[in-house]
Amino acid sequence: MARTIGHPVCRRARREGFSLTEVLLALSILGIGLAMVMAVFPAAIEESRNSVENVLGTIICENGLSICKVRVPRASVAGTTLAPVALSSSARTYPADSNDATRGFLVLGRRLNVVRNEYQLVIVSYAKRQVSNDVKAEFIGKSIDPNATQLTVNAGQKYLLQLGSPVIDAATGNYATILAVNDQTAVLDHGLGSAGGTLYFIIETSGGSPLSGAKVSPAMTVMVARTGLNQ
Amino acid sequence: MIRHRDKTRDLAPIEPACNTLGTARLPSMSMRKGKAFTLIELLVAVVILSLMITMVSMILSQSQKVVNVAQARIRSNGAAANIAEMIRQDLRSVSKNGILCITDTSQADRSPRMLFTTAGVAHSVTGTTRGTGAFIAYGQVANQADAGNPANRILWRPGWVLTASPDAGTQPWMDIWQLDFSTLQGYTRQQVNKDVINNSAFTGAVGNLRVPPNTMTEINRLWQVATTGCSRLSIMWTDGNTAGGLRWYGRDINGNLNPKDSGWTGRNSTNLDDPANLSTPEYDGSQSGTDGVYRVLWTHHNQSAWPKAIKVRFALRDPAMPAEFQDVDYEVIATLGQ
Repeated sequence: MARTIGHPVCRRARREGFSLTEVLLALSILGIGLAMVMAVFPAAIEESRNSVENVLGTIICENGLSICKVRVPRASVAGTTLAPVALSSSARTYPADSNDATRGFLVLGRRLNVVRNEYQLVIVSYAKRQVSNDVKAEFIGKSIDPNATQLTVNAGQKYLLQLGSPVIDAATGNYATILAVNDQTAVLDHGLGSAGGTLYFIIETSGGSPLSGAKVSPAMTVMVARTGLNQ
Repeated sequence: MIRHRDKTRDLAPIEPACNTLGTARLPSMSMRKGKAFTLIELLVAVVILSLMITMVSMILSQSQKVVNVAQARIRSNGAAANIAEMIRQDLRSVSKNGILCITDTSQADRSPRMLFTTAGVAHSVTGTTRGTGAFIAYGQVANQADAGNPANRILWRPGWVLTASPDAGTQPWMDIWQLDFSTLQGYTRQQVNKDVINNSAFTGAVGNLRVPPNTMTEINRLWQVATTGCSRLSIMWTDGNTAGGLRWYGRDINGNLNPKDSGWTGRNSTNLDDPANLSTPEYDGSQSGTDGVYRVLWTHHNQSAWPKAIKVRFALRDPAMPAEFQDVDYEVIATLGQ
């Protein structure tokens, strides 16, 4: 017999180095590990993008306040609870009077004291995915505990729960931000401090309908201002 | 260690690995013969590893690029936010007992300009003088340290304390204007042009701005600089006319004279120094050449016709940004103190 095979000790003795299969296996494990590490990068980039957008969002909100002071008639903010303030699409875009920008703002307003010319404006800056889309504040009737940091909606309202969307109480202007969504329940960054009643959410629409499959709200920054209107 | 495969040995080993009884050979022999990779195995492993390293480095490179852009945007946005806040605060303090003037000249490095009076206690930066108001100006001027580079122009924001009696001990004054509101209110438009807009305090200071500075005087002048790398600037105004959208007048960021400019009602472009016309803002759009393209002047005579809001649009260029992200436009819309 020229060669003896099959004995365990003998086989082990002949295979002290790694086989190709072993090396490939090791590389596969390494690859999976690297892939897991790489998965962290998009999250970090998203955080970075958010911080960039937040600064710009503040500028847009302050511009929005200036525009509202100049051109929103007092008579158009008649209610004592927040309602969308009508402004043309071009007036709401950033840069102003532009129709080809993805950034802009929308306004909810209510009157506080007409005699003293006091109004509350909630200005939300946003970044749309597409120029042709629009952004709107959509509301639901909902009472929640003032300290509750979880908000559960009906199955048909799930589309409103989008990460980063402010949840605005129409009665007070208080708002919280959605941090996480689990099916019909959203986790808020803090309680609204009021019982709710009517809650507004900021969503992106296309052709008047909510953008299907949107998980992240277009909202960037929220500014709540107590101001007078010049018209 | 690389072991070269020996076909002869593979097919018919000269030395059997084990004897016929199945007992192992001497350990020292088996270690020596079976420990290393073959050349093929190593080559395959190296190729696969190289592919993986290439893929990872590509991902890292892309990530680094995104991070660099994000960092540059953060710097740029931070500068813009500071400028925006400064403009808003300045415009909130505007005093209609003084003047507001917006000019646009054909001189690329001196255009456009906005200057206005503010009310409230103002402190000199270079001395101890205080005043009850200030002249504030915004404009785009050449950076003398890099004068030939339009992208590195300065967003100029000087401020002069208005006082008729500056502290004698602080000369030479760099930011004090020997004038008070009562004197200013007696000025005709021509006097405003001569003694304010074309005063050497405005025109002369521009030629000395240098960033980075080389001398102590230049360091002292840095209070005039809102930012460097301001590649474009536009200053427009609105009278609150909302027909068809909010109307903005003046030259836009692309250098085009806004068509709506000609539709500005309430302006006065004839007999500008005629007292009978003082109740309307003075608009001179007939200028040409080095003197300017247009000049708009509001005074205490026509307070109700002052703009409702000012729109300042500027582009910032960060040299660290990739070319495709250069010249980021920002827009600040601010209402005037009513």
